[in-house]
Amino acid sequence: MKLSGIKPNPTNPRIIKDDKFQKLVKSIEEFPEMLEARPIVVNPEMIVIGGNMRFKACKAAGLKEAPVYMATWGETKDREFIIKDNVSSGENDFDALANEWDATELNEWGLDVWNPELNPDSLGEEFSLADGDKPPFQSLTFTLADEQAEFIKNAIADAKALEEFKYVETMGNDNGNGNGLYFLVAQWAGQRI
Amino acid sequence: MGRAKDIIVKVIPSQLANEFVKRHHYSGKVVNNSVLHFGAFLDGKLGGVMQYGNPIDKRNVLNLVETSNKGFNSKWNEMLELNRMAFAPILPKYSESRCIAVSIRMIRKNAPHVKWILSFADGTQCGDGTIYRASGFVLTNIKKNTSLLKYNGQIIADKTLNNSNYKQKGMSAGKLKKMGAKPLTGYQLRYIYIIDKKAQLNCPNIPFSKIKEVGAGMYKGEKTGG
Repeated sequence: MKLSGIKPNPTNPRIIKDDKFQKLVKSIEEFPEMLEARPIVVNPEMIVIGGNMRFKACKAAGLKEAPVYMATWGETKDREFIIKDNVSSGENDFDALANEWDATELNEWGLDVWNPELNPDSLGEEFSLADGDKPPFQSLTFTLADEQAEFIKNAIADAKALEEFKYVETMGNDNGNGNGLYFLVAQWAGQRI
Repeated sequence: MGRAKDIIVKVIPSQLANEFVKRHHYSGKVVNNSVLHFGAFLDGKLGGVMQYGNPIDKRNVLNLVETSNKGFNSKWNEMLELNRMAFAPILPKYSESRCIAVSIRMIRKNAPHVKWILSFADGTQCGDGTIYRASGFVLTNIKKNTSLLKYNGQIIADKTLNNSNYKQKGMSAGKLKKMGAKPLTGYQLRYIYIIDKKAQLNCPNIPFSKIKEVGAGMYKGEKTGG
């Protein structure tokens, strides 16, 4: 679709710093195919509700057209989408990034991982470390076949949706999946008595 | 000591520490369990990194030192492992021992519950721990290497193979050995630094002369003496 027919969202709550914007422009220039996988999302009035920065960057990169997805969800869902589209639930594992990826490339792609120019005066000498007893929680790791893992995850999700789950004995644990697993196993154990 | 005393040690973000270690540590790898990262700056430039964290086999090492904390649970947070240390050649002689001393002073101030530090010298690829000895650590074990494996030109620690990422891929230390992986020739040396003066070693304090005696000497990746 022609970019000239699309309007930026005047109430878009997202901003981008100039250097990051320039990286985004460069990224689109070098890898425009990425836009096919992540089209700009517009509402029926052709106002951008997802990808405002990409829209601006496409124009700055000199593109005349870009892939667009038109959403017809209505204003309430459009507003919800604008926020949810930009919520990042996960976080980067910087140890894995350091071991498996190249920092120069990551920086070029817009992820800040390496800043050798850091001013030591801006850094502190204070920190805190965990103190006291071992927390009364532990992680268990199992190896499962994909089908087994899906089965168990679905069972835990189903268990968590039950009314009885609200009354499960958590013993101070606030991990929902852990409590869900305990709930299932406790029920299984109860049936064997 | 020369210019080593001009080095400033600061707490730095893990991203920065990891990238530095990846570039300057002989292994080219970072470990995943570091919780505290120190940077050594000279004339405003980052020239060294020390990373402290929890040992992978914490349950097995907690009893190496007898402290006022009794029992496994109460000892849980009383120690740290210095698990990565990388210094660039821009730093002067004696920088490492000075930086270790400063970092331990900072740990004593900010985390007074930490009573001792554990570290290992890799006498198969790097050194026998000259820096630790210069920094006041005691030698508590010299063990012929069985845990660092070489396979297809890659060095892999067997402990790493036991983590979930590798297990998910169906890989294990035993499997890799069956595929032809061989342990690197040389020794692993365990060092301990006691911060809390009331704490006592619960394992042998081995004289440094033993390193030469058993042929475990190594300096900058080259076998020495013995």
